Amino acid sequence: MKILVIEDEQDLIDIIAVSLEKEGYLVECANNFNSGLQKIIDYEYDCVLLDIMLPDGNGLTLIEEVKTQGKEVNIIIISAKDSLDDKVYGLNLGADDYLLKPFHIAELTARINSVVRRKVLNGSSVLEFCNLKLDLQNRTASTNNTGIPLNRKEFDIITYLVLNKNRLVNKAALAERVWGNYIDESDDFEFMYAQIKNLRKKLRQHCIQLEIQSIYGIGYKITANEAT
Amino acid sequence: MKLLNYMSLYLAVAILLIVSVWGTIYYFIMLGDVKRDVDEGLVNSKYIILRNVAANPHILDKSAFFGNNYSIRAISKANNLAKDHYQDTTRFIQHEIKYEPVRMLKTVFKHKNKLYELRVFASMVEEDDLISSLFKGLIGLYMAIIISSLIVQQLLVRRIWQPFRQLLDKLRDFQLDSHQDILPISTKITEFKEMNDVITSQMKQAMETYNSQKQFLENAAHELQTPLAVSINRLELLIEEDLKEEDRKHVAQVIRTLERLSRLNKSLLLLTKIENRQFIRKSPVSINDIFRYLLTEFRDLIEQKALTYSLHEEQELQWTMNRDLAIVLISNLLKNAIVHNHQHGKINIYIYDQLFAIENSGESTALDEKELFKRFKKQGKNKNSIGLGLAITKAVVNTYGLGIKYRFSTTHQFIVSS
Repeated sequence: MKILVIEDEQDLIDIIAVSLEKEGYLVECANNFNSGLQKIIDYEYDCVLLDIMLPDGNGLTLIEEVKTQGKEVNIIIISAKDSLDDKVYGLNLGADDYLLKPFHIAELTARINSVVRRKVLNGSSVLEFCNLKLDLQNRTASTNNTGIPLNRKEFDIITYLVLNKNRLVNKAALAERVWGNYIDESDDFEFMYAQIKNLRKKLRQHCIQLEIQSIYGIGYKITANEAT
Repeated sequence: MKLLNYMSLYLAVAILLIVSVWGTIYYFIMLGDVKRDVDEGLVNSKYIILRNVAANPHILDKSAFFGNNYSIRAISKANNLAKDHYQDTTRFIQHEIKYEPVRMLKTVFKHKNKLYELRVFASMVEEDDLISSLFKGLIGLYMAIIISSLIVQQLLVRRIWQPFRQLLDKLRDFQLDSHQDILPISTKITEFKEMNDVITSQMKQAMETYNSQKQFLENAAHELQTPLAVSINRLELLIEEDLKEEDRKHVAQVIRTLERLSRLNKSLLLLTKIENRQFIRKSPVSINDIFRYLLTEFRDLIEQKALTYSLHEEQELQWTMNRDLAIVLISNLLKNAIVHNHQHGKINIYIYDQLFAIENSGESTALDEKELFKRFKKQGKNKNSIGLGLAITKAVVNTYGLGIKYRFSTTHQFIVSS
């Protein structure tokens, strides 16, 4: 699977590349508008990460250009500007997602994985990991056709962790995704621990071969648990 | 004491001094004039008497006054012949039964080789009377001057000091973070003009300095954002590598510290954005809705501390403001009430049509209201708090001309009112 990153900040390219390669993606980079556009037209990518503020042009124009060329490509916009207009416009142009800088690695991974998975599975909304099945459309979890009763937050947590499987998910990223913007690190995330504890219990009860590890108080990681 | 009264007081004292000095001098001049007049009359009388003596020598026997205004007596020798001598003395006045001041002329003349002394007198003005009438006159004059000057001042003062009042009002309303231009006042008075110019230029300078500092803060916060995020991201990638247990702990610690820094930075950025009025979109916002919405958002936080809360929606409260800022305002206060609460504590929320109040249990002592809304003033024990929450709240409140008050009476209360 190939991902194109169109971004002019070398630091960010490095991080994105390292992280996505861990996920098994092939990452290519373009530092400006023109080389980005050229690459999209010349090659096939599963997903394009596009910074809309490029030194030689606006990323939104690039999307328009790609569309007029009749090229089908999944695009995730990354922007340092928290502008509702840009977001609405970008999504209307056909971008799949809009990610605000600075972002957590986990958030980027989750978004790319969602986009790519949708594309690969032709829009299927079922996410599978080990013996756990998550139906994103109906928001239900099951294993071997047995339903696992999860509350809204538990479902969101497990989905996010699975989208970032085998990767560290920062608590802040998790909180932002599951609890929204109004809860932040100042609240100590003790409430998160309670939810994770319940989730682990439910997974154990249903013999799900997954393990949610705590990583030194900064985050969680979901891994397949072969021992079980 | 008002400047006007102060000036009037000095003026009153000064005029009093001038009037008294002037009165004294005037008194002596007048007295001198009167004496000269009387003396001329006496000399005239003397010549008339001396002429009469030549015609009627029998009047030489008039040794006492007896109703006349002269007396003549023979003397043996004279020290000073033909030299007039004036004297102030008194004389008993029958019908007034008292001594009256008189002016007396003593002179010596020769008649048929005999020396005689002639005394002629004329009644003088009474000095007491003169002084008292002069005094009365001066008092009257003094009062007239003072009263008329007061009236004139009162009438003029409103007009003349008007620019000063305007300037004062402007200064009183002046706020560094207001985005209004300073309009100069119009005046013809040089002093006020100068003051106005100085104040206006100082205000401008202060605003420029303030704005550039604010701009700097905003830029700094903005520029810090990406490097911070990149550092955290790199460390997150690093911690996934095959590290020694010990190293992993260190990396985790650095991540936590950087996250704190990034949070601080975000809050500063938000604060400057609010103060720069960068949240432009406004609409009528239902405060009731926001409370209901945020209480569900914060449910986990509330349950974590086993808090009980109640939402008393006495009336519908609607403010025209930016919805995001309304959420910032209320979420900060709510979070405050949750974080600074104790286990099994209480939160009560009251909403009326002009205000809302959030009341929470917590520390049993009042917080320092003066310090409460300042930046980086942490009053709780929460080590994760960065001390900007209430400063942000205050900034939102100021943006929309609302008011926020803190009260303490066994519970902590924050009241936000329009």
